[in-house]
Amino acid sequence: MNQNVNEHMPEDLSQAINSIVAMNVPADSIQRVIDRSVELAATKSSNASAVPSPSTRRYQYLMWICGAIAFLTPIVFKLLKGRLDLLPDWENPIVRVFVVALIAFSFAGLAWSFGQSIIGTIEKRSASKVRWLANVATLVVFGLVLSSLMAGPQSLYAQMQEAIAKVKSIQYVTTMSDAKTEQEFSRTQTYLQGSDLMRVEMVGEDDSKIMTMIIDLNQKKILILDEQAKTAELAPVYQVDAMLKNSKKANSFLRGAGLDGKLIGESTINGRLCSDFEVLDDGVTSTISIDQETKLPVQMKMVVDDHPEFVSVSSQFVFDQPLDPKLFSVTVPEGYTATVVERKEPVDDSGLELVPGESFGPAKFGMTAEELIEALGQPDVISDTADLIIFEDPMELLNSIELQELSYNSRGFTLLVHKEKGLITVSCNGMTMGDGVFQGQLLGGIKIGDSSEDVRKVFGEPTRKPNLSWGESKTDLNYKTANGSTLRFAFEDSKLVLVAIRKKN
Amino acid sequence: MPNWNEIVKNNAASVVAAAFRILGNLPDAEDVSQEVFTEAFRKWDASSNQKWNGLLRRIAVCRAIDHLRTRKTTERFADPILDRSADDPSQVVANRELQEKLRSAVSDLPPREAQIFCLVHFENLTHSVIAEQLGISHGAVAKGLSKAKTKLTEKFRATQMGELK
Repeated sequence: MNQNVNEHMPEDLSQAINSIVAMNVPADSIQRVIDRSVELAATKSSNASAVPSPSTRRYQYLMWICGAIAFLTPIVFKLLKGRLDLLPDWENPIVRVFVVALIAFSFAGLAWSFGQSIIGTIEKRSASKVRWLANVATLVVFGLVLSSLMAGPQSLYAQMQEAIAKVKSIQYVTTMSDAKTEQEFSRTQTYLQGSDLMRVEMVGEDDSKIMTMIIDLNQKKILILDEQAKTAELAPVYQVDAMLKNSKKANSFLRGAGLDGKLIGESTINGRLCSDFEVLDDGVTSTISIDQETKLPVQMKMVVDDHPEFVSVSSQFVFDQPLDPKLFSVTVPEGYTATVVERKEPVDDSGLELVPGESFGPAKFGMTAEELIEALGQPDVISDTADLIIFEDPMELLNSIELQELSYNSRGFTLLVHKEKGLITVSCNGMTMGDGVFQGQLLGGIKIGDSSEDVRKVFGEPTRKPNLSWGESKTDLNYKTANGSTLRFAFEDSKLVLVAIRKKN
Repeated sequence: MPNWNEIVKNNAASVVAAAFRILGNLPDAEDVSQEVFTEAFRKWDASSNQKWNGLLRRIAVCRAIDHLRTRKTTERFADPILDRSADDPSQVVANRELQEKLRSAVSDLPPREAQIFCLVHFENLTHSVIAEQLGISHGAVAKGLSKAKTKLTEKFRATQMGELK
């Protein structure tokens, strides 16, 4: 002992210090401590799970926090708002990557932790009960989270789409009104049964039927009834598969289906609490109100962006109510004068070439209806009213009483003939109400089903932007040729479905 | 990374001795030593360049003082056969009383002063080593030691005065 440090201290204090320093520890006592501490190392150091290093522990904590966030987020949203639709959109790829990474990270941590506990148990080392309980609890929690994720989409909008896909029958009413005065211009009642039966009734102000259209894809027939003139037109449907596909997508009545809906608020419609989703699709803004309880749509408002003065509202939805099979009968009712369009055998039109403003196979622009029929054969339907609203301002065409329409539905093309100017428009279709597909080609080799890139390679960049208020689509390509003719190409699912050519007036 | 078994074997004697000197009985010293090694083990893989002897002795002193402060009186006296400070049995008993008096006085000191006192007088560590181990300045060690010695001296003198009366 260094005596200097004990200087100036009372003698008994120095004596106490010296006697303490002189104390010896027996070797067996030291050995006991050594044995226990070495055992501690054998128990814990070879199995990092029992006493993880600080860095491992931080990693472990981080994983647990991630897991807790992944699990608690939907619960918090559920508790706060009573809905899961406020969660980030699962369809968003960024959200998806983030959530998957979060869960994968958490699962990796769980697997690691769980594995260590199992190894510890097998080797009879310590794996505390608390640790085991925590692992089991986490496993259960992650099982629940995973099963909820696998159970289906989380957003109410996605749930609506899923619910719609399971519905067997739908009825609804659609009105077209003045957005400001709410004055109603038209009203239609629609019935859908499965994906192959459809009935649309146009109703007048006095609730009397004006026109009825019935499509039966099983019988491949379409029946159009003029309820006032008591005339009926029964025509064949040629493209059943395409119509079925469209029908299954439910796009025919619910424009929002298949698109992304953005939650914009809540509303109460007919006493039902609804979430309102906004859907933007090709110049049309739809607001779909979805019943929070049934996950089914209650109302859908549609406004064409270029014409906000008009609003279309679909409402009075009735789902899965048994419908009378007679509603979908394509038999011409008694008392109606029928025009029956017979199903025609396929015609080889592969040699038909359309030269803008000049010719269409053997037919020439400017030919009369009689000349056209002689050149191309008898059309399926000859109509003195022009339904062919594919070009320019549709109001201009509708106002014209000088037009005649020759519809070659089975061959997938329609001709618009001016009584003085002759053939002015040719429309070749890929998919129009079940018509056949045009088999010919446009100058340059463009065919129905080609891509927009194929069209651009031949015609270059479009010379006019699509006019949405004319019923054109954003993906349309519009051109004016050197001889003044105008061309419109329309696409669906990135495939060419319509080629329309109008000769310069 | 140092071998844990080597660390234990190389330092067990000094750790148990440090705890034993402060606590005065072996079972408590062994328990505290076990706590010291458990605490040190948690720092083991993250502290590859650790000066283990100084660290373990410092921890042993700190934990032993903590233990000492929690017990009101010395519950168990040191085994007389372990006391080599005297050959005379009566002197051994006298020394034991002095030891317990000092332990009692140390337990009344503020923890930091008690630690410094024990590390200087029982473990014979230099001020520099203590400053490094406790994470304080050299001056703070000297000041703490001075205060501890003053308080202990006063306590022992007061006891002497009381005995004389």
